[in-house]
Parts: sequence; C-alpha cells; structure tokens
Amino acid sequence: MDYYLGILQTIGVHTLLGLSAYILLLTGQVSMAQIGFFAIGAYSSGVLTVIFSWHIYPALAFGAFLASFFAFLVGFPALRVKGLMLVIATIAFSEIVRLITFNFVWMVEKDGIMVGADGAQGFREIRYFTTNGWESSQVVLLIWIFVVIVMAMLWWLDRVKAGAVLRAVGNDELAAQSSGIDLTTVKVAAMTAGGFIAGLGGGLYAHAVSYVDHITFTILMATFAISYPILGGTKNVFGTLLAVIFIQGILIEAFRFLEDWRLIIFGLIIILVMNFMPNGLVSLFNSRKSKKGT
Amino acid sequence: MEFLQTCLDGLLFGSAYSLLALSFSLLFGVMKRVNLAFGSSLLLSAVFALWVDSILSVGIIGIFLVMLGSSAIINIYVEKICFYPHRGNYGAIVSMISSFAIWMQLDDLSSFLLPDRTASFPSFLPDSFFIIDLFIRIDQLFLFFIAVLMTGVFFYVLYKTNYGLLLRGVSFDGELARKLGVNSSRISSFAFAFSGVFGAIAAFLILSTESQVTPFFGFWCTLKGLVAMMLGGIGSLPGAIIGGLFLGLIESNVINYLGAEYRDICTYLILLFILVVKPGGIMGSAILRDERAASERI
Repeated sequence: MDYYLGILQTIGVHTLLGLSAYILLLTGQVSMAQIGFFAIGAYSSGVLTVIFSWHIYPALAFGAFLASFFAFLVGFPALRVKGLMLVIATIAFSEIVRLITFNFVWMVEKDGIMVGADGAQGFREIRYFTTNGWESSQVVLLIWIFVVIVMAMLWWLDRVKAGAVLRAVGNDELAAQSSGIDLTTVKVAAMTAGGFIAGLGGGLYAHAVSYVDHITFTILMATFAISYPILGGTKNVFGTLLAVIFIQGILIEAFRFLEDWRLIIFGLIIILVMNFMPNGLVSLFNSRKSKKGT
Repeated sequence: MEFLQTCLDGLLFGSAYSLLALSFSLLFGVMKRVNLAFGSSLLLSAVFALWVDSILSVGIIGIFLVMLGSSAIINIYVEKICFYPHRGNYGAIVSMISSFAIWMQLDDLSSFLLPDRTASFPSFLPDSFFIIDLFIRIDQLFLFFIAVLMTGVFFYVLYKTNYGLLLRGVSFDGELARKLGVNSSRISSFAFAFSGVFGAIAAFLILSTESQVTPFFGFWCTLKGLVAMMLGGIGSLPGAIIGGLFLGLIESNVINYLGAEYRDICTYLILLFILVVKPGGIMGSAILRDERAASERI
C-alpha cells in the first residue's frame, strides 16, 4: 500500500512541477527555472516548519509566495532574451539556486539534536507530518487536493479572457502586441504564477519526503518539468497530468522489472512519442473532438 | 606573481573550455540546436575506449582513435534519432527534450561500462617545468597548443572546404539549400559527426590532464561548453574561443581569491548578467541581427 501511495505522491508533486512549466509554455516561454523555484519553496517552507516551528499551511504559503517573488524578479531580466537563450539563462538561474542550497547551512539545536539545512549534507528531518501524527494517506490526499485546485484554476483560466491573452502571446507575439497586449506584463505574470505553483510543489515535496538536498534540484529535474507539458501537449491541463502518469507511473514504475535497462528503454519511448505524436499525448483522446471544434 | 600564475593556469585550462565551446557553437550557432546529450556522448566514447583498452590493450593512441570513432558514431545516432526528425522551424525545443532523453540513455550505457564509478585515464607527458617562478605542466601546455591547432582546423573546414560551404549554406537557409540540390540530411550528419570528433579530442585532452574519468564528466562537459559558448557569443567562432579562455580566467581567479565553493555560482552569475545585458554574448551580435533567428519561436 505504501508503495502505491509513494507513486501517487510522486505523480502529484511532479504534476505541480509540470503545471508550473505549462503556464509558461502557454506564452511560448520554455523555462528551466521551475526547479529553482521548486527548491526555493522546499527550503523556505522547510526552514519555517523545522526551525521556527510554524504550522504547515502558512509555511507552504510563504514558500510559494517567496518562490513567486523570485520568479517575478527573474522574470523581468530573463524575458529580455527568448527562445533557446531563455533556456540557457534559466538553466543558469536554477544552477545558482542549486549551488546556494549546496552551501546553505542553518542549523539549530532542538530536543537535543541538530536540525536544519546542513550544506552538502542536505536538509534532513523535515518531520512536520510525522511529529503531528499525519498518516501517509493524509499527506497524499493533501498533495492531491492542491493538484486538483491548481488544475481547476488553470482549466478555468482557459475559459476566461486571461487564458486567451496567454495563448495569444504564445501563438504570435507581434499580433498580440498589435492588439494592445502588453507582452512584458503577460510574460512576467505567467512567470510569477509558474513560480508560485512550483514553490507550492517544492514545499509539499520537502515535507512529504522529509529530506531534500541539492541533488534533488539538478537540471535533470528541470528538464523533466518542461518535458511534461511538451509531451502532454498544451491543449489543456490534462495533457500534463497524462504525461506525468505516463512517465512516472508507467515508464518508471511499471518497467522496474527491466532493472538497469529501464532508462535506456525509457529514453527511446519518449523519443518515439515525440516523433509520432507531435501535439502531445492528449491528441490520443482529443483527435476527434478537435476536428469538430476547429 | 601569484596573480600571474593564477591567470596562466586559468588560460591553459580555459583552452579546454574553448574546444568544448567550439563544438557547441557548431551545433548551436550553425544548426541552431541545443544538444544536451553532447557531454554524455563524450563520456560514453571515453568509457567505451577504456573498455576496449581493458580487453585488447590498445594503448593510449588506440584509446584516442577509438574515442574519435565512437564519438562520431554516437553523435550521428543522436542526430538521426533526435534532431533529423525535428529539423523544421518549430523543432528546436522538441529536439532539445529528445536529446535530454538520449542523455539519460547514454549516461546509463556509460555506467554499464564503468561499474566502479571512477576509472583512471592514461595521461601522457606528466612532466612540469618552471619559467621564472611560473609553474607549468607540460600536458596542459600541450592541451593549449592542440586547442589552438584544432581551432585552425575548425576554421579551415568551415570556411575553406566544400563541406564547410554546404554547412554554412544549410544553416543560412535550409529550404533554399535543399532546392539548390544540397543533401541536407548528409550535411547535418556531417556537422554532428564533426562536432563529435572535435569534442572527443577535447575530452581526451581534458581527461588525460585530469587522469581520471567519473560519471559526472558528461554533464560537466555539457554545462561548461554551453556557458563558455554563451559568454563568448552565439554563432561567433572567435567568440567561443574567447569565451572559453575568459571562463578559465574567471574560474581560476575566483578559486584563488574567494574559494572553490564560489566558482560555479560566480560563473553562472556572470553568464546571467551577460545574457541580460548583452544577450548575444561578448562577441556575438550576429544572432540578434539575424531576423530569422530572432523571430524563431521555439
């Protein structure tokens, strides 16, 4: 049972990460900074519950707001560049954050043991859930409540004008600009919202697994984050969820019997999907409907 | 004197970065593609060469040749599977994600061939000498000269040979080149194989001065090559060389005056700063003037 809960937990956190990249992808921005925001959320909310003994909800909220604040700050300069150069600039940002967590030491003594972030050793003992008697099923439920809220909000976004504005910028910047859309505002807003979602996911992840370190936040994870919405397609939010289930649930878990060969097969399958379904996994389900709609 | 020594070390090591950056420039500047699997292909070729050596004991020259050949083949494989199917205008990001998947695949293959995680790599000319108090390692000096020489070869191939002309033609306008009868598939394979051979030479020199190979070497190559190329300027070959040397200088000075833990943070901060202030890099403004490149949405 715990095994399945673990998979559900991974899928939930990765969905949040993927959705944070999804909202940026709607505006045509490919950002590798999501894992940086994720790290900021994880570390700041971890510090709050462990060192300052905050309650979990304000700590999560603080982590998410801090991450979105950094996203806001990064948004302005980073959006001066676009395309592949934005990818490199955001990689640089994520690596800076990762290296800061690598060197970040803040430990205090509590109940006779040292707790807190210990540089390269990572941030251990983020034990809010265990000390407060949460069961792992409740933790998974909490994560999925947040996933559902975020997905519902993004789904609703597509039904109102803001979603249309985002997609307009993504489809054709020049045309969007000529119809009176302020590109910088839209892009920075998308970046800030993406940072918020990623920071929330980071806080949930840190508390659910009770241990994070800099290896969690490498470029590998950033590439995972951006590959979910690309693999799933940007038609709607369910594509991202589908892609996470496909990669984390099916490819990684179901192919465990292949042992060491798993990642080799895994790479090939992603590439085949990219080649044969250029619009993403969601096109499997939507092909008939979209023909009628458009 | 200490400052001079630091700068000298930085420049000598920076020449290795320059070589990596040149190979990246070929793909990024000329083909407008990011190949995240590049470093992993170099790691795999090095590990494969060591594996061949452990069976057939081919010696250091043999290792070098096996590395060149296997790197070229691996890069052609990467091109065929990730880049050739997505050569249209919108394929840049899809091919980057595909190359990421291939990166994991290649790294996994490397860990098959490298079960002990770390292996010693044969070094050559392990001597050193002093010029007026300046400590110089012969292999590093050799690395520097090879880098200069290879840069010359690179320019020769790109600007004086027929293949180089075709390559630049395809990068300038793929559609037009195809209408004029250029076999763009072969040219693209050639570019990848060429950058693979080039990168393998760089990897061989770096590994033999470090005299060991670890599983992190692949990612290290990718990041340093990308950063050096971005610092110098995209699409500018002299920029790639200057970017690499500059990166070496920065890193050795930061290590000396601030401490090794700040090395990478400073590198990325400078990269971010340069990207924001002058998005084309130090030397390269060409990509910003290039209308198609600027308007290409990935």
